[in-house]
Amino acid sequence: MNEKRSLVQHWPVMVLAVVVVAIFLAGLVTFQVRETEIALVKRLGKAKQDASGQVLVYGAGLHWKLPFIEDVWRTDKRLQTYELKKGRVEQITTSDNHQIVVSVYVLWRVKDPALFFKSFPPPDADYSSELDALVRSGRNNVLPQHALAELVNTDPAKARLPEIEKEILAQVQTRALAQYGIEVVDIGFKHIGFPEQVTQKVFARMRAEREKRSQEYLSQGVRDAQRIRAEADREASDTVAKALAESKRIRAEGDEQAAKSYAVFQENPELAAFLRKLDALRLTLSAKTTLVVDTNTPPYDLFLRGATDIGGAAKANATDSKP
Amino acid sequence: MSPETAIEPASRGAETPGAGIQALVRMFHVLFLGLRILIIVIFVWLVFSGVFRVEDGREALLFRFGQLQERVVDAARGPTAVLTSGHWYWAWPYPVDYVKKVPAQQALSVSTDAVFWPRVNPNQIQAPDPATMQNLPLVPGQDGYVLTGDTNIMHTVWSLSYRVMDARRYYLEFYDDSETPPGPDGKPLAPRGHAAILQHVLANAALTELSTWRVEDVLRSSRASPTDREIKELLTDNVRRRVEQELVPLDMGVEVQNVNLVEVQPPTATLAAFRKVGDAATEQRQLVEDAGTYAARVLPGAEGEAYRVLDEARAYRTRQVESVQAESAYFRTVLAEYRKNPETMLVALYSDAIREVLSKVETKYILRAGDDDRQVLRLELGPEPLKLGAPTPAPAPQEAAGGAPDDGHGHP
Repeated sequence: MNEKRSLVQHWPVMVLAVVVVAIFLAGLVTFQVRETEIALVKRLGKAKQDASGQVLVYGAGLHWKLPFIEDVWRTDKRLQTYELKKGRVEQITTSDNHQIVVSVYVLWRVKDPALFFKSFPPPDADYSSELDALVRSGRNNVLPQHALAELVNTDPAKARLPEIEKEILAQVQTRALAQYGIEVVDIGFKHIGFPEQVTQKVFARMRAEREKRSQEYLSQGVRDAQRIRAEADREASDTVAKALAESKRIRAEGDEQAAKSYAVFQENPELAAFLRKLDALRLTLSAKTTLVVDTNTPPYDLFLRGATDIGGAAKANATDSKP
Repeated sequence: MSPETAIEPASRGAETPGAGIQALVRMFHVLFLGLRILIIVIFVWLVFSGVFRVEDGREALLFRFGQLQERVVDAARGPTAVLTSGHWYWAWPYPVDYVKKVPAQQALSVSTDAVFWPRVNPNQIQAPDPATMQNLPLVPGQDGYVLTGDTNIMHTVWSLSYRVMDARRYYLEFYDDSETPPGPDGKPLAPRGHAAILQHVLANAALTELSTWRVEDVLRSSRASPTDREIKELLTDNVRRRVEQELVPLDMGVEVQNVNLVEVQPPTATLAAFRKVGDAATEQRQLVEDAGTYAARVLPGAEGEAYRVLDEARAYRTRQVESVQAESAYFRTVLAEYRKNPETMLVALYSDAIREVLSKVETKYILRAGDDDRQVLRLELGPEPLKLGAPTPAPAPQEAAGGAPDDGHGHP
């Protein structure tokens, strides 16, 4: 009775003990593989195989293993990138004898975990040296077959960087999968440059080109400015010349029309001449004129004796006047 | 010490075993009570520690024993593994469940940083010394730059902003650097996940695009004029297109939002030469603008002159025609009168003219006509104007043979 009471009384503790033991045992005999991982079970130093001799590859989920005998190798199966380390600043000679330095990156993932772990055993699983060597080899085989003008060119049709990247990829892809179980998805150039001593020459050329460009800008400026000024002068001159020609035409038109009106003077040229003279007299004499006349000049002939005798004198006085 | 007191401990010692067991039992009771409380606490912890919320700008994935858990959201959308933001969820504690939160629906960015940028920042060189700068080399592996299509060297910085549209693909198919354990020396290893992949793709796209551009066009993209802005847009659009093309086969579950050219600088060693070109370009523009100003001044001037000449000509024509017409009309009138009475008409015209003219003239000398019409006359012509307060000059000496001087002195 007491024992039964004790069991009922202490069940939580017993449950806890069972849970702890169960967790401990589960940790010994099971292992988890994440969705992002791929795993193998190693038994006695070798990857566990099925009956047909194929290496067993474990995907995401909870799996059984024998405690103390079997160990788990796991690696990330996701796409990742790797940039060349050792051959990063290596000089390569192009087909037209230019020294260049090309940095390359790789997009890759583990495709065959059995081969990958065989090539790069855990816990280090250091793949960098082999991947470096593989990519360097591909790059160093392909690039010397191409000229610098195929890498950089102001004519887009002649710049063939994507094609050259694909050539390297083709060389690396098959070998990476066959030798290391690595799927190389893409290879790309991250940097293309020159060795240090070559950059100095490039700088000198760039400076010379800039100097030439400066002169071109100045010459173009002077030329354009002169052209604009000359065009402006010519246009101005044309405008004035056209206006002068037009003005001559207008004046001639005026003169022509005036000449038609002059025809009336032919009816009595003497009278016309007389009237003109009177007009000339009016126009030429002004307030500042000093006039010296004698008493024969009308109307000052009134100062002479006999001024009151007007019979037959008017016409004579009119014709004898001398201003 | 008395004997009774010496015996006391011995008599108590005989009762100790029963009391000790009771004390032990009491202690176990307390212990078990503590364990029960602990179990309750653990249970409560189990229940509440599994509660979590997905913050704004994130989405989450739930894994149970490593496997991604699909949830039935609704009949239309079907099961999905993505836990959206703004809701509360529950999961078993590790190692049963594992929740991964992914930044989604928010702008993330990567930059080419030092890939195309040198160690010595050209922007920080305030007063460049051409002699020193010309010897500043670019060391491969340390100084970044990009080659243009005309084999020139340029420094650039590019940035790419993007958004995670498919958290599941983004996390499951591409490495996540936040899960990288530190290296053997305790230092973080080189990034190889999302940001590194996108940086490489961006750098490759920029490098490939710039490998077909002329250095001047690349440099123009850093200026602010409308034409230069168009060039920059063309360049960034092309790089963006290349990035998107590269990302299509990768299917990273991201959407490119923007590609931006942050910096463009020529190498420090050629900075002075590039600045000289900039100065020359400015001078060129100035020369052309000056010429334009000259043209703008000369052409309206010429047009004004043309208007003036034409107006004068038109005025001349009008004046000429009107004047002659008036004259001819006058002549016709006079002629008609003249024909009726020639002498009277002539005398009248003559007298009117003489009167009009003589009345205008202020200074007149009238001399008596001699018998032989011969006279000697001396006049001071163009006399100096009289000054105020000066003595009145003597009258102009005049001598008229046989004439009285006062006769010839006219007054206005």
